[in-house]
Amino acid sequence: MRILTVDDSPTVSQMLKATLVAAGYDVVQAENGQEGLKVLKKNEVDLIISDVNMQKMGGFEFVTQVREDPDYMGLPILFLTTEASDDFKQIGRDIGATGWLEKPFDPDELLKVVRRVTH
Amino acid sequence: MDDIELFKKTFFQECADLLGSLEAQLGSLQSGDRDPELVHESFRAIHSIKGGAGAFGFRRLIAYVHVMETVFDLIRSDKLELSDELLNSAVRASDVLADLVHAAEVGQDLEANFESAAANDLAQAAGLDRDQSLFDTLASQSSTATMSAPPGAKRRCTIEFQPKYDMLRRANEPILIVRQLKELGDVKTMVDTSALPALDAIDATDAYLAWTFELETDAGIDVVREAFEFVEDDCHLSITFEDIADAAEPVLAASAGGETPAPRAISTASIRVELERVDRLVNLVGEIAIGQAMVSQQIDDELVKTHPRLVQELTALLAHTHNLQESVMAIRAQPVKSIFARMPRIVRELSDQTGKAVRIEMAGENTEIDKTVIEQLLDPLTHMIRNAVDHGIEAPQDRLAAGKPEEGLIRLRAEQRGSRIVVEITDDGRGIDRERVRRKAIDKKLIAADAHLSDEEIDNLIFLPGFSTADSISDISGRGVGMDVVNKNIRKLGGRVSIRSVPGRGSSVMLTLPLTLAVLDGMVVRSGDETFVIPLTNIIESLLLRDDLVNDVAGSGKVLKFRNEYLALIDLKQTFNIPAQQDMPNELAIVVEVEDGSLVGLVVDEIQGQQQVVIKSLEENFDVIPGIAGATILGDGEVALILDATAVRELNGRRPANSANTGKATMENQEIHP
Repeated sequence: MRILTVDDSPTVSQMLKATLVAAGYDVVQAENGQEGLKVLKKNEVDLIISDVNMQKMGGFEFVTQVREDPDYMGLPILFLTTEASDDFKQIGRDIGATGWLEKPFDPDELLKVVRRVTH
Repeated sequence: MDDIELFKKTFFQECADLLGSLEAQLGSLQSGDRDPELVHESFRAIHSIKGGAGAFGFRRLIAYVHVMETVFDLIRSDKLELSDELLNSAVRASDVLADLVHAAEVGQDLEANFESAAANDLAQAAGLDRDQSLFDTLASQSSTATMSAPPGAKRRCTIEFQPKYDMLRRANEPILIVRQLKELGDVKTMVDTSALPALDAIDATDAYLAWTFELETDAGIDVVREAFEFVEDDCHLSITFEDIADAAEPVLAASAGGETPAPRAISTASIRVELERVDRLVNLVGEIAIGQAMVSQQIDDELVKTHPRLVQELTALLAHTHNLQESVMAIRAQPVKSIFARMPRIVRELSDQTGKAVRIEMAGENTEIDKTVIEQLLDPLTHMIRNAVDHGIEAPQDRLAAGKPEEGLIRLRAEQRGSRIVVEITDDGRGIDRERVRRKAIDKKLIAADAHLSDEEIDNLIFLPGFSTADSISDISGRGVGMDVVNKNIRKLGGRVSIRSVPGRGSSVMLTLPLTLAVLDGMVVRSGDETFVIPLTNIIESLLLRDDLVNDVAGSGKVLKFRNEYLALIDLKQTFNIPAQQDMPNELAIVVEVEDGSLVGLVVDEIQGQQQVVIKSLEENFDVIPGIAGATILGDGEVALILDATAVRELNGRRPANSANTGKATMENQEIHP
């Protein structure tokens, strides 16, 4: 199973990768939404985990564009964010996110949620 | 450098960049540039520092950054105007932030109020009141609060769940929710297909089905709700709990039947009944069996002659009663699948944690055992699987070096053999390091330094109380809980544990368990005018107590010579203060194996026979009696007490301090000869 992570923080990206790889997932990474779209075109992925606040293209814009493509209709997408407020969740839902994870993430919690939304 | 240190290094490098960026943005703002992007950038920098700080649990840093983040969030969303005063406070705050980051990096302990002034100053300039800044409270909070359910009794949770169209559009699939519920307990799944249109009218992306899940779980509502966390607004959801004992009416329901739920209307293949009702039935049938045995004892030659027909019918009734008893026991039986199914996940998680590649193969999952036995089997089984991965299977490179496949293999197998169930856990790992086990046993004074033990005896030393194979307590194999606890738990269930190991090839642990806890095969013995039942599983041999077999040892009481070893001899009359009877000169010794594997001789007057008895709890019906495990009613109506040999030995204070499987080592060292 391959997971795309999109986050502009090297710390977060590195921790995501280490956690997911250790759990047996393939991981491809991008630093922002623009790059995320490119990586998505080149790789078949089973799940996207994306930050919200990013330069160039933020998470909301990125996910909106992903969902516009019918090919990615059934693709689970998680937002990784420090602000899981009700407003945020509503926006996330409206643009088609599957779920969300709060930052900072606990590795076990991350894996639990990943398993929850993937086959 | 381990992973965490590596991440921290990355984090502090990133912080240096972020702090530099923050300083630059604030500088531009101070010079009068009010480009909103400068505020956004500042926010992003602060936000990223907070995220990393949270990941590593730098609480003080988190609490402080939170204030800055709150302020900049208000500014960027135009809820707060960036005055010069506020900006100056922010610049001072960012200097203190740099100090805090540095302190976290080098592990420096700053004085208690180092950052308070800057935080309060900023909060005040931003017009936040103290509560809103949350500074003090956050500083004392844990960074990652996770939901945990209070442990409690199993309850029945009924969940009605009707997804809306949008749920599927967001890639949330009901099957994933079912899967998650199954991790919480037994799930009965019912699906309402009434809204399903004709095949040609189906839109594959729409949701037509409504589900009802009945979940038996000890998890709280928070945990259950968590399964629906992402879909709560995309469905109609109702979750209700009820105590299982309160559910008076048995509920007709479709059985869970794997991944494909069966519609409610079609199948009534199983019926749910409270356990309490089944137990009542088991008890009543037990009484019938006892009554039956009493009647049977009245049958003698005289009766056969005078009432042949009556005897014939009674004999038939006896057979029926026996069948009835077995059928009732079978109600409580469940396939071991329910606990076997949890093992692959445990293996997976452990192999992730240890970096070892391990595969698990299972066989005999449909073998059935009493529900109570199954429940109590989970912990020992989990522990042994953990042991196998943690201590048994080698690291991949070691396996390759030993000419084995890189991936380790654990086999879990259950089968019924007569009235016992055998569960075997086999691994193809390194096997038991006998020299290490031996040394350890000597260190812990479990055996004498010069004790001669066979390979098998050494392997089984790991079951002795106080023995733990890991030199340091391993996080994975479960903090000090060793095989001795497994052994104790299995013995409590009336089972046995043994291990076979071939160095370099692997180990195999075998659990032998009774089919049920409600009845046991016992030997009925008499001591004075008291009748006792000794569980057959404990008995090694019974023998006549000849004078030449018995020796008095000063300070240790009498010992029995048995197979060239000396066993503690315990007289039940002395133990339970039973008056002796004159007419029974020939005493017998029943050699029994107690919990730690050592042997003890119990002195009795007479063996009356062997029979299956229904176990009655003394605790529930009377009181706890030391040395007695329970009671039963025999065929002649007499109440007999079921002996707990281990407790009887403890009552007598006869605990051979350094015997391995037998009293061998002790006696050899004392050089006692008959």
